[in-house]
Amino acid sequence: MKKTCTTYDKKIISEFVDNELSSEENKKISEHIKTCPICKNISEEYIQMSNAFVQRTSIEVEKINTGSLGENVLKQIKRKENGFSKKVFDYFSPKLYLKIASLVAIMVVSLIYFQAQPVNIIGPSAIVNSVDGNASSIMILETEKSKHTIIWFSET
Amino acid sequence: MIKILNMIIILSVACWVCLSPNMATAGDTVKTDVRIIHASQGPSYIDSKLEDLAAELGSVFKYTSYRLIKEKSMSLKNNQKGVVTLPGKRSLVVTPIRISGEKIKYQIGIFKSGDKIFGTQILLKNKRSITIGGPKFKDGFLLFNISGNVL
Repeated sequence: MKKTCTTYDKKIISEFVDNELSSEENKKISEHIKTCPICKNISEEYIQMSNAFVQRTSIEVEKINTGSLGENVLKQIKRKENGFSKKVFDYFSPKLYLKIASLVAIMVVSLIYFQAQPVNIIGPSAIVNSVDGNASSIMILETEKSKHTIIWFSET
Repeated sequence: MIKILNMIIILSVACWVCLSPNMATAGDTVKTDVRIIHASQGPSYIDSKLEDLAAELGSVFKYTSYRLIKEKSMSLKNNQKGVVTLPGKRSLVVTPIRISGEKIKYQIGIFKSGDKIFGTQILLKNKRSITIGGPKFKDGFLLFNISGNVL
């Protein structure tokens, strides 16, 4: 069974090692550690753990190629800027004046298109529903080119 | 800036709705133009006002001369009669009996000394024309070109 110090617990020693205590408390514990082997051992353990952690972390950080990391990040940003998704995103982005300009352009073009529509010449120009009168004969003709309807009758 | 753009949008929509033929409401008046033509096999002649029609008629008839005798333009409402006097105591009565955006239903009658010699009911496409012919006149025949344009 491990011996424990009756004056300070492990938490306080940990805070002392991490330099998180006030200067007054720091001074008291510093004096106490000189006379208490238990607390001294605990503080040394903590210092070793802390040093080991810092050492390990710095080794892992050194493995990272920060130069290529920066290049990769820049490449990805560039790809996003030039990508199709970016273009689509830009098109639908809330740029109000562009949307309005597009709408107006569509309307003007459709208006010009409708107004410039030629007369529909598909099919005969007229449909003859009925004929009457004293004509001896009646012919209904249609021209080949513009399907112009002609009625020809002979007077009696 | 936004206010100006809003105004442009509203005006554009209004113009589009009003002027688009698919959305336009049918008028109740039709501009009816009647051209009385004398067609004959005399010396070759085509009246300058008949150039559009003469080419079409030439594909069907063998006449060499097309002379415009008379033309009359009338704005007719539904069931309003338009009368055009013709040579040889004849008259042409044209009456739009139904006007829609795309078609005009006409009642057409040709009378001689008060008697109806020919009558027809036709459905004419808007902005197009029909030609009725047959009555003898001088050395040729009379043709009546009737066109309708809904106002």
